[in-house]
Amino acid sequence: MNNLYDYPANDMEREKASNGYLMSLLAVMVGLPFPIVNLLASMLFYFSNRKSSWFVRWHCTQTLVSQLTLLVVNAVGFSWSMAILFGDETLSNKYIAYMLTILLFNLTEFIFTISAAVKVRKGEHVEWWFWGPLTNALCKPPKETTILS
Amino acid sequence: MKKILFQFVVLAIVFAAAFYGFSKIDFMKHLHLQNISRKTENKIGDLIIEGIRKSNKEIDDDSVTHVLTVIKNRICTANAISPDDITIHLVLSGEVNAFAIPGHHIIVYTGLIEHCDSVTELCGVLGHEMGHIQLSHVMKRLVNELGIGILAAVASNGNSQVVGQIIKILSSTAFERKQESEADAISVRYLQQARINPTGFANIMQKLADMHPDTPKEMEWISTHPDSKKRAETTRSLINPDQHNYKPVVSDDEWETFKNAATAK
Repeated sequence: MNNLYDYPANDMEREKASNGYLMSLLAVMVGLPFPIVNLLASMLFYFSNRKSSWFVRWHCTQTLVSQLTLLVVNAVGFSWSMAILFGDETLSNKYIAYMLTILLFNLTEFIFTISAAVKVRKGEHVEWWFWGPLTNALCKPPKETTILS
Repeated sequence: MKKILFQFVVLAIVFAAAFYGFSKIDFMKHLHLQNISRKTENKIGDLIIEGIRKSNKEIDDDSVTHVLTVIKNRICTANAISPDDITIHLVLSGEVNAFAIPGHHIIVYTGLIEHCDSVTELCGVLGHEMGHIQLSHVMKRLVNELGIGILAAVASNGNSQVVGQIIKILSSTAFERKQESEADAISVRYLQQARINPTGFANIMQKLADMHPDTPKEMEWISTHPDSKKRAETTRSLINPDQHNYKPVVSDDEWETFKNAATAK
């Protein structure tokens, strides 16, 4: 079997995979001003589950790579804000536009994450645009699973 | 791999399009952000002027301050700055000092005029202070030192103790080295654009640097502008050696009359 859509995830796997998404949500709420917190939480969860089943690893990886992408855009926003507060930058239309853009992206990611957490908890497989194919490239099915198919 | 790249490019385009779309909106205007900050700045500036006037006499005789107006107009006009946007106040004090305050005001003490041997030296100092204003160094510094909350409170209730503290910060402590260098560079640029010889600016810094070992307390512009010797050298290196089309700001007689009138008060 090399298709997670047909993977019969058991209850524990569903819970772990769903928790991966919830972990990133919790981190978003706690560490919204500090983008690194989200990534750290996802990384922590990813490493603690790297020996879990393919289903769990796959979803933890999808969470991690999506957080990594968000980290980049959020870090730019964070640095820009710091430069305005403590440096030479001034409040500008471009800054507000950038902050609104990343807010929109974070909000979209937030909604997708809640939806994924719910679906994965029900045992459904969810692949996001860009991060899904990227996760497929990074998280290969274990050999024994492939043989079984 | 192609699918990943394609989807990444689409995502990047969506991000860029959202950013581009948002950046077309004039948030600063719609949210009155510029107005609020400028209004607050003007209010603080007015309170500071009031505070300075309480302890020192301001010379507002047009026949004396005329030279300052000529310098301001010359620099502003050549550098696309509205002359009405900047107000220069000549204040009677033995301190060798000039400093920018919120609300686009520049305070010049008569002690500084006394130490200027030529009008171009004064032009350099004024160009430097205008640089601090144009680069928003004054408000950034106050926000850093006191915080937005205190500044907003001062603007609304005019706490005289905090106003006194602001005057002390702006008149007797240095800007960051980077900001001083930026103001030096912009001053040279302003002067060259206005066809005023910037050598005078380097000269006054060198002169103040030479005085430095025995600097009396009233030499505030030196203590708030450290490394004057090095900065005089840097300023000289910024001067375009090929530019020779400098024009006098005022006649020697006008300068001497101004200097005598300002320092005799």
